[in-house]
Amino acid sequence: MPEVSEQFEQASPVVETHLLGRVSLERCLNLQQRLAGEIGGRDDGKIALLLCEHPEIITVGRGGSPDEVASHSQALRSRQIRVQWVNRGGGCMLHAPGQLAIYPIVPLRWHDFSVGEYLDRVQAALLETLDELGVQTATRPGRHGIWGRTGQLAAMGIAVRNWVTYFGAYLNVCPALGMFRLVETDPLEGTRMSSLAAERCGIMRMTTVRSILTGHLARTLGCDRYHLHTGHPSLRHATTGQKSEN
Amino acid sequence: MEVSYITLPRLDVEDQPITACLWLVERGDRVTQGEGVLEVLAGAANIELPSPIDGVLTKKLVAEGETLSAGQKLAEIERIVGSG
Repeated sequence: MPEVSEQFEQASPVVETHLLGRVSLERCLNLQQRLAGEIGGRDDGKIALLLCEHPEIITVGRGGSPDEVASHSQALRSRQIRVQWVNRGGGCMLHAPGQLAIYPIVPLRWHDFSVGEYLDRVQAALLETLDELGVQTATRPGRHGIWGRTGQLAAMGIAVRNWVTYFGAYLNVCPALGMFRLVETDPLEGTRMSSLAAERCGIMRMTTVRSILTGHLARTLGCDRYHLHTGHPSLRHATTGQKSEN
Repeated sequence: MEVSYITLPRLDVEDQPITACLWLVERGDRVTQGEGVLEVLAGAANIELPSPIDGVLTKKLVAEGETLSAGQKLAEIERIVGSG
């Protein structure tokens, strides 16, 4: 019954999810932009989802300022943490192992999502994930991000090119939190970054969070199905042996 | 000479200010359909607004840092004779 199969494919785009392990921001950004170009040229609504962790780096989004980074701190200098301007929304963010970087590549026009609706859907997936994990959360009116008892748990910052999204959201699962004091992620709110491990006062496995999030994200983006891939062919050399299982 | 405009679509982020962030091309530059012309910042989203046609950017109608509203004309693109 190839016709039925074809109709099903058209009605239900697949989320191709790539678990990249630990990968540099530069390599991951190159991959995102390549996938965004490819997806923008398709007519099947395919979504790619990249899940990974980055080595320590600070990014400054279009809404951020270098003043929000304690650039003269000894800790930043001694650990040689780079500060990089990026073309996503949002402000300054520190990325580190233990933080789950969530990069959905979504053709907005195909799915008939406005930018605001897309952001709301990604945030809803994060909230549902944390709810399933038993973490109490809060949001702030007029802002995208998720807060817990101990501080901010997730931040969002997306880019849209030719109506295809890249960049996405960052969820602190179990990073070392000390370095986050060096970055003022949300100057208006003045709250510290925290993590799911701090909320739960215990171990939080990255693999568990990743698994739960993938299902919620596929559903909130209107997809019935997702495929899981370990790594991505173009990053094979970068990800071999570097999977985080924390 | 056919002229098209880049206008700000409805982004559904009305509770956050939308600002012209960065011009990606200069006045007089040729642009292709789909090529990013202006970055617009709306809270957690930075959006490259693409050119609707192959042409030349003839007018920047807003300045970087200016607050924008949905439906506002942002740039004028003149179609190159013989293209599209």
